[in-house]
Amino acid sequence: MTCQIVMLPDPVSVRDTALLAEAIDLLFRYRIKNLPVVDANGIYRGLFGIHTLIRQLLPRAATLDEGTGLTDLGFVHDTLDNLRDRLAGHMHEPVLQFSDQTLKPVAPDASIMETLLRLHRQHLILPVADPVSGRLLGIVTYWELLARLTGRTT
Amino acid sequence: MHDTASVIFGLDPFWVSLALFAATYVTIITERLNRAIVALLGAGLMIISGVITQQAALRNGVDFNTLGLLTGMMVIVAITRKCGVFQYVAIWSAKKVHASPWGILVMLALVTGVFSAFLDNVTTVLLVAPVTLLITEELKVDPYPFLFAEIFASNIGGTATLIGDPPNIMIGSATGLSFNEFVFHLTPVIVVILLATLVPIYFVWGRRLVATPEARARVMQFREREAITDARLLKQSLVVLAAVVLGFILAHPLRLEPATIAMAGAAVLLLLDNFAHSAEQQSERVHKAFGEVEWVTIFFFLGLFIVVHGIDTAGVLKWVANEVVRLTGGNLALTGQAILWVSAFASAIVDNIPFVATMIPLIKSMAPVYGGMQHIEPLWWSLALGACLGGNGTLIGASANLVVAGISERAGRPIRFVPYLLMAFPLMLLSIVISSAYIYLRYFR
Repeated sequence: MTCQIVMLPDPVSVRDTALLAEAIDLLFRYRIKNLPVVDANGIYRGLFGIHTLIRQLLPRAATLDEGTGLTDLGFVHDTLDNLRDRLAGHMHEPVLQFSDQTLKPVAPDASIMETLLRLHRQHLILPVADPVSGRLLGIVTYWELLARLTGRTT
Repeated sequence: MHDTASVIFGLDPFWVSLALFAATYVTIITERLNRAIVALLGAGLMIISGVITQQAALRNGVDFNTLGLLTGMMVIVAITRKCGVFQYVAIWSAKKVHASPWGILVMLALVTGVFSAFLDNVTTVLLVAPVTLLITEELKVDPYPFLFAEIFASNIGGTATLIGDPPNIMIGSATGLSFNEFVFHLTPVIVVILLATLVPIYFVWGRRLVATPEARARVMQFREREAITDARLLKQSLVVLAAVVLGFILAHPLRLEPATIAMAGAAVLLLLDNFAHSAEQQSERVHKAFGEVEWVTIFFFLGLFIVVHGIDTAGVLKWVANEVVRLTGGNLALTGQAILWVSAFASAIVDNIPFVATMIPLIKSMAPVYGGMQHIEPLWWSLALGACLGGNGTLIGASANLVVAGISERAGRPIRFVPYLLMAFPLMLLSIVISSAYIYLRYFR
């Protein structure tokens, strides 16, 4: 049994050249947390979402690798206006810049257990792409998985 | 009792040990293999080939005082850092200068220098660099000059005391020079060097550092008290750290070695930090604290001590020492200057730990020529100043430099080898010129 059984085909995605503002609009419009980023040929380029967006709002010193960055920001008292300014400065930049390009997609023939393990480790959606062409085929989400396990519909 | 076993195939121990030493050094310099692996392999081959016996290597070669001092201090810092005291001091110092960019650069450099005098340099920059990145991001100024100044301050500050930098720990342990003697002989010139280093940094970068009033206001809004995440641990750590420093100061009259003080301090802090926890939690917490010890450095030292003891036992260092004395015409002042400058250039290029490990027995071998150990004391200060300050010359000159470069790169502001070299090497030379004048005026005039 492969990951295709829990895959959601033709997911909402965003072009790599789209602006950050457009990508955020898509998150709101579809009430989703993550969006696969694709190029003009539908090749998977990265994953944009709430987590990668929040990362941009944090000081860089707090998002370094574990052990080298700041572990606590209790002493920083930036206001919502400060954060708004920080976000506004990025709104007209390409969404790919704010995407996680290190997250590797799973192949459609990956086993269901492998898919489950990747989901468990990443706490995100999993993009599914053709291993040869790199074309985005679908995504695996927690909801899709839970629906299949309990016989419900998403 | 001889430390030499019988060398394989009846080969001359002088050449076998020299070949193994050279191979170890070259492999360390190429950085193709982890330095601890290389040092342990070199040590193993030194014993297996019969240059020295295992008993001699462990009894006479390995300086357990150095290893104990390093390990103890690493455990103390691993526990202390959890309470947020270092962030507190960095933020407090930034606010003291009203978040002026140049003022912050000076304050963070001074904080780094003072911390480095008492803690491991790498640990110090690991604690200060992230706060620096946070402050410079809020001020919207380039972090490069700040991080550059901190690299220099960590290596300069580390030179000031017996426990500030591994070369000093090794020198202190091998010679019996006390914590107070290091402070008395090195701290005055280190203060001058640190301040003198800030002058060129001001003219190159400092005078152009400007932040808007809004950006400065954001930094002034930082609440340093909230950086303290564990007030109880803070008090415990400060008491233990103060006791350990007091112990170093009183070590000589108490007839205690620095390793005993550091290890006892680590044990007391571990006790205080774990007393209130269950047995299972204690195991986990102690395991974590020990896990933060830089075991690569400890095993690197272990292997190196044996390799160096190998060439020492085989007579190589005595021969080199005689050559140095011959070249300098038996002039102690000239030997002191030669050690200072050679150490500085060597430490800018290679790791100063193996260099100092080799130089210590070499300098000891010179003692009879100059009338005994008490007459060669200035040579130890030359070695400490050259080896510690030389590390500033290049990006690979000291571990702290590479750690800051790594953090800076991950934060999107890489520190490149050549641009760093162009500014750092002349500044390093400035520090050695000052040291050279100091050594001459204080000991040989």
